[in-house]
Amino acid sequence: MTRYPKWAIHLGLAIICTLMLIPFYWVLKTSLTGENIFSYPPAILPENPHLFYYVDVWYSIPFFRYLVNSVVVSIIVVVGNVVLNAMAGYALTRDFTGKGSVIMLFLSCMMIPFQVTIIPAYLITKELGLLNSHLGMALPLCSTIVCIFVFKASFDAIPKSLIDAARIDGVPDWMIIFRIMVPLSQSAIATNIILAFIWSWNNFLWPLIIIRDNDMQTLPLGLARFLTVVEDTTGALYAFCIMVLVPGLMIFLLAQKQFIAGLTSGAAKG
Amino acid sequence: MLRWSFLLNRYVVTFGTIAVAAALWNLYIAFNDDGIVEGRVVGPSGQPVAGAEVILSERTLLVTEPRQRVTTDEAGTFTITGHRYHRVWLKAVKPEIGASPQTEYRLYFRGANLHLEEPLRLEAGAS
Amino acid sequence: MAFAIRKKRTRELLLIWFFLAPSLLIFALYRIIPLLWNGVLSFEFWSPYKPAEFAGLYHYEEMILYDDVFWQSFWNTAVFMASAPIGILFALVIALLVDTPIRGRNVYRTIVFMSYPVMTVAVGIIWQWLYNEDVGLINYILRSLGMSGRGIPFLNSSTYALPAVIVASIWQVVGFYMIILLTGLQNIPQSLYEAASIDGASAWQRFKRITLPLLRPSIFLCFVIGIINSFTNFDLIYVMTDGGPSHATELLVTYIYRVAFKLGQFDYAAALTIVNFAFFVFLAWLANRLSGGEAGAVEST
Repeated sequence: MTRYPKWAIHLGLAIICTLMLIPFYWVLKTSLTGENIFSYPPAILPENPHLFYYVDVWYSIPFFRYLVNSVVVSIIVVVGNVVLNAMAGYALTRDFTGKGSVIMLFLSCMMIPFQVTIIPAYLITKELGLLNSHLGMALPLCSTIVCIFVFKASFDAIPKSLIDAARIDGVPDWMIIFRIMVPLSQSAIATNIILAFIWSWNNFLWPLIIIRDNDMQTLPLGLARFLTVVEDTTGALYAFCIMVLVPGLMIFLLAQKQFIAGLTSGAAKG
Repeated sequence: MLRWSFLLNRYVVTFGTIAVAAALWNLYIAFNDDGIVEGRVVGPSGQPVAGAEVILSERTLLVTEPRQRVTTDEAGTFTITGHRYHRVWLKAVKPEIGASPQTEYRLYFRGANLHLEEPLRLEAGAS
Repeated sequence: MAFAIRKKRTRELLLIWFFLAPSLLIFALYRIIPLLWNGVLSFEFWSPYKPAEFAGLYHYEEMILYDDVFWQSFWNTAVFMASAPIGILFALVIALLVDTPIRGRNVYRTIVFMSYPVMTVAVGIIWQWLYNEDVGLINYILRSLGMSGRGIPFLNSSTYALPAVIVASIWQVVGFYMIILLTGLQNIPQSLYEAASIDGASAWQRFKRITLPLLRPSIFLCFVIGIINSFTNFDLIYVMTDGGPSHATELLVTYIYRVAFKLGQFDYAAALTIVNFAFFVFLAWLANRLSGGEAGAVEST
């Protein structure tokens, strides 16, 4: 298939990658720069780089509090996802009346973007008394249809004979799940963990709607509201931006394979 | 030995390193956040100035507010203790000689100890 | 004996429904009931402080006949959607490049994809800075190249704001398109190319006759993602322009948010949501129809 010399492909990709990386670099540079941010022309390399903007962020907003909120919500979402999706996925591998309708229901729910449900979802959350709470932020994300199907596919791939043999031996259901199903569907679990984490970590619209309390803000909310809180601290804003980006990117880079596998399997599902 | 080898994966290593680094950093902070600022005040020609007033200020939204004042001893040195800021402004004044320009010192954490390498230099005529 | 089997069967059924119940409950609470509730709400006069009153088609009439902002955001959403092919084209080029057997292609893939999992709020802030009128990188480049004398206030100009936001959005999503197209490319059997080569087909012919047709499902999937993106891309707009200047970048989703949570008109926002959803379902159906039912939906919240 190669018609072009290799160096040409490398050159093309290098240009594309540079274009993709420049925005990251520019913000990183701004967050480190020691010169006046608003002088023209802007310096390409940071002059007298320092880390003090990061210190400013740490003290001008309750960064740690936001981080904890984000982490708590992510943990609830990840645990909820893995447990609930695995349960639902397992149920869907069994035969029962109404299975077809349940699957249809799930597939049609997939067609409802979360964004079109925000108003009643807000009202429902208010009725449940979950406004301004971690659980309220996490609950809508606690089960994901794509991941239910990922689990179902993974459980379906486990040979029936194995489970039947265990069942005949009188192994209880919960033990079958923990000793056979879970170890054999590690990749589904990993996929679900990383997808759920990224979704919850980046989630913005929902916390924006239900969080009024300053103490309950998550990182994306804090980032979006930072400008209005602190004027005069442009450098700190971009330092904050980097501080928010790093955890997400780090986890993406660590679990890249599972993340991409999850996304493509989700995308291929009809 | 083998039982712990499952810990040797990139997740544990990465997050473990971060946790250790954070712990070390906090340990460092715990030992260095007495809020001590040490330095010297010198006159226009570089001789130590005794009895100069050193003012430590904090910047609020628009103005710098004086928070602490100390006076230098015979050798021109001064010590401020117990500040709780991560950005401090220092200025030395001696009415008979002059004043040093108000200078900002940024610190890596609140109440960090600061040892001034460069003395505060009074400029004649300034106030 | 039969009784015992029945009992066992009942227990199993109970277990199954017990396993399904939490997920079903969440979807009922946050997908199905809200959708129905929206439908009901859109025919009512309602606010949190006063009891509901039947409104008939009042909100729909208001929206379609008198609400210019609705139409503006409708068209903006359509423009946003229509820009998806640009991103897909870029992604196709990149996918073809990284599909070649060269060294370091995994690194290239990672770099191109890296902007996708990034928090959209951060993407908005990054691009806002790049577009800065005085010291933004883009204006700096334009001025250095002599293409513009003064800085262009991209995000404050009604002409450039929407394209500027679209560029940022493409930057974020292009890696995702690339991964999907790459998966599609890798599923094309190599033997087809070999056979075509033996028959003397040129590279361009092979691309046109083999790659493109076999890649059609993947390309359509990208389109569907582009459509979903134009309906759900709230974060980016909210951070970069907040729908401004004077609604030049208002999408349906940001308009709904504004009407409901800034103006407090939940009933009207519900009607907007219903129209938005109907538009979305129509497009999804159309895309599915055109692709012969190959493209699926993807979760992207």
